Amino acid sequence: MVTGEGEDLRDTTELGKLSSYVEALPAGEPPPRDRAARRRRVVPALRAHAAREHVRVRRRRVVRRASLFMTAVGGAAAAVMFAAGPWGRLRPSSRAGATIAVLDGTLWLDEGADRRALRAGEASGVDAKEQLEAPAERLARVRLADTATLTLDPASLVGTVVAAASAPEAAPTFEAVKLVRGRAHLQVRKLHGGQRFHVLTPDADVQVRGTEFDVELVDSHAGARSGTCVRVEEGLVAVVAAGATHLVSAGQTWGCPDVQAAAPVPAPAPAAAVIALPAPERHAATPRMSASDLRLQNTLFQTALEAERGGRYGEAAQLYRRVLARAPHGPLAAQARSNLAVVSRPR
Amino acid sequence: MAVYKAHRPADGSEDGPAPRGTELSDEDICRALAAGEAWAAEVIFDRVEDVVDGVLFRLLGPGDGERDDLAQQALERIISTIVSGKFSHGCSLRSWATLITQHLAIDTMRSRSRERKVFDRSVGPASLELVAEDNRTPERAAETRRRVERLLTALSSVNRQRAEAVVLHDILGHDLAEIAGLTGVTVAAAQSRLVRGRKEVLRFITGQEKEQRHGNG
Repeated sequence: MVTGEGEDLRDTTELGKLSSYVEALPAGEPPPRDRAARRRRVVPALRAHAAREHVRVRRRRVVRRASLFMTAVGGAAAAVMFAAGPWGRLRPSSRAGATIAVLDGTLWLDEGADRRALRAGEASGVDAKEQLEAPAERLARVRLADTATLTLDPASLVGTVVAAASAPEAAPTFEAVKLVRGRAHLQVRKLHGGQRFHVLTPDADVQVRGTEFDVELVDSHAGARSGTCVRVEEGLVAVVAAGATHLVSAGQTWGCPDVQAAAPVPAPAPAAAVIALPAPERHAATPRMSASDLRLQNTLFQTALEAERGGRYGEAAQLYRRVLARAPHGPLAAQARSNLAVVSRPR
Repeated sequence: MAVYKAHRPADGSEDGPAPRGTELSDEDICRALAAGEAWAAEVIFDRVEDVVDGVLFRLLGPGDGERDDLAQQALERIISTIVSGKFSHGCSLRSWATLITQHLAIDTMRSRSRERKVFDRSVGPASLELVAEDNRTPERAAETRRRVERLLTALSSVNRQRAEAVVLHDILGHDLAEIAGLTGVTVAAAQSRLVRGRKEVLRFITGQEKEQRHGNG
């Protein structure tokens, strides 16, 4: 046993003990054997083993190089395809991927140089870059996810604003459309909480929570003024324009060149009343009211809505009655009557 | 530099004989083997066979019935490490052969130790043949056998790298610098392994001795 190195076994008796064990091992050269016979037996096996090992190592090198090459080529190809191919364009983002379904007619989807047609019954995911255009000769009706149904007049053009999905598993929805050209009729489903659906025009932001209305961009050559025209068929719409908010209720219009000349807006069917209310007399046209009177009705109606949403049904019923008493044939009357029927139901 | 002694392959294969009377360095042999020259395997045999046999004789004893097979396995392992490039050329082929063979010997001891635990807790017949010649008294011979058995069991029980350091240094006589070069560690690390390995081996042996004393008492 070699000593003098690696010794921190200070106790020499311990080292001596280990030495005594090591010395018990057989020492010296192994006894002579028939080396030639052994050589004859082992060497061919070693040559064969060397040849096998050489093949194995070479094969492993080839496989490794091939896998490296394939990985590099595959990675590069995937990067190129992703960046330049259709996957790149359809790359999902937090504000993309909401689905539209064409219900009637044909709709053109424009994204820069790409333009593709969606026919009735077809659906597609769209992102914020795409615009929806109705053909020149006919209407197109399309459902925007579960949010709204949009009917575009011929040659009308809208862009979409897609809201991020509220949850990882939830589908993205639309939060707005941008009216670029023409006229759009919208039926927006009832939204909850603080949700609003917007129709954006160059000069206004039309906000709704669940209603049916028209928004039109009026050309300066066709009407008395250029800009946005809003016609509400049902519910209440808020129009934010020039820093002011205007509440537009069912039957009312905002920004249209001539209210009387506008297409007649069908009055909503009266809800099945459970309480006795004076039946409204039908008038051919909504009587004109002063701006201050309309503002008061709007305020009353909005306060009643807030009371209804807050669960204060008694207060809401009283406010709806005040709206009806003030203008029984006014633009808010039908909606007030319907809402009054709802809040007056026994609970 | 070893002098090459050429021999035609005993199996008469067409791989061709090694160049006769040529002096080949370790580097040349390894390069030839890596290039697929089968004759280089024959040269390897000539160069390291005695080292392999000596290590196995020292660690496993002269009466080990598997020594020839283990020697062949060791030679095959040496060839495999050279062909695959694991041989770092930081040492001579003979030193490399020592390292590989003692690895194999320790593996074999561990494997036998496991088998004994599973199949037979008594001392196997092979261990009785560990000491080739003992012209001392029978009691002395029995004690020597016990010591060898304990040492080998201890080496197969402790941490492998530490056991390797103890075997290379204390049994096969390599110095720390050689061990460091062979195992690819610093001299300080080799020294640490050696010191710890010795302690672990001694602790194991001491435990065995105590058990024996309790058994006798």
